[in-house]
Amino acid sequence: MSMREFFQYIDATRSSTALRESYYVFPIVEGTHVISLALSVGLVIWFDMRLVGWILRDQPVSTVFRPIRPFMLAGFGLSFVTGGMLFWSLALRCYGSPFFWAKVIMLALAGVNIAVYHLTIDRRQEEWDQAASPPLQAQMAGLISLVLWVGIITAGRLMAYFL
Amino acid sequence: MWDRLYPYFLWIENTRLGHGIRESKWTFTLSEVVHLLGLTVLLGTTLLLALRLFGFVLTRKSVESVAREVMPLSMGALGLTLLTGTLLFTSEATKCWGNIAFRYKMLFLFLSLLFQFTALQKVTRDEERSFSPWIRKTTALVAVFLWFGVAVAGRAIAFF
Repeated sequence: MSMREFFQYIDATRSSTALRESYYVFPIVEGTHVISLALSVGLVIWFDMRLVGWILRDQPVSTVFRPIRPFMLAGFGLSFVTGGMLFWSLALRCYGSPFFWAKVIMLALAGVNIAVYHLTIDRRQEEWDQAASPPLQAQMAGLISLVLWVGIITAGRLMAYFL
Repeated sequence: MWDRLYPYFLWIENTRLGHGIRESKWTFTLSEVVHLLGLTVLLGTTLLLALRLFGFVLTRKSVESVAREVMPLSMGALGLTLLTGTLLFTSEATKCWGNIAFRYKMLFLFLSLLFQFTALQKVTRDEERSFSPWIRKTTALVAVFLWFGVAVAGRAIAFF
């Protein structure tokens, strides 16, 4: 099965059609997807900016990250579930949208960035937790995350505009 | 009252700026992107301050000093969101005039701005701790409710 056939298959499922044609559910899911940005990206930026060393420099990195994490994760959970539903309902149109693929690639890169950060420099966090300016690798992780989220929101908005 | 505003909305839409934005595809689209990015940062700041007022995050730092650090970014985001929002409005003012969600959005926006620069500002600059925890938490909840109201009504404009 080619990628296109796979997307076609999703698009033709009863659940996809039902969601696409629903009068209330689709706008509610779309609205929730947009508003959940405030919880997910709206909160992750504080941690990213702390990693870069732009704000809250007098606070240990761990005290910025740990208490925010549950709220941020709830936000990302909501973003992914509603985003997944939107994709499911519009799979074929997504396939033809360059902005969709740009968004998917940037989401994957954001995932890699998070994994690399947690598996490497974050392992030695006690050594630089108090530092106003964390080591370069941690700063880069924060900066890359900020750039990717701006890109992901931009691609998502353009995708919806041209779909 | 709203009916009597129609000529002004029509006038705004027919200004050179309104025409210019309608005719350039990218000005409108880019304004939408910046509007959404600004909104994300603005709501993110409001959430962070609310979480701090509730005592959930950054508890080792005072409310005032957290607010001092995040407010410049919040105000920058607010400026960008208002600017791009005005551009978007100018290009389709009469459509907004007839849109019920737009009216709610303007109501929420007015209340949000009013609340932001009165109650929220007072509570986040409260060096002497003159407000009870109960007042601080209520202020945080109202600010979040009002700003999210603006966002929800704004998103709903597209559905009417």
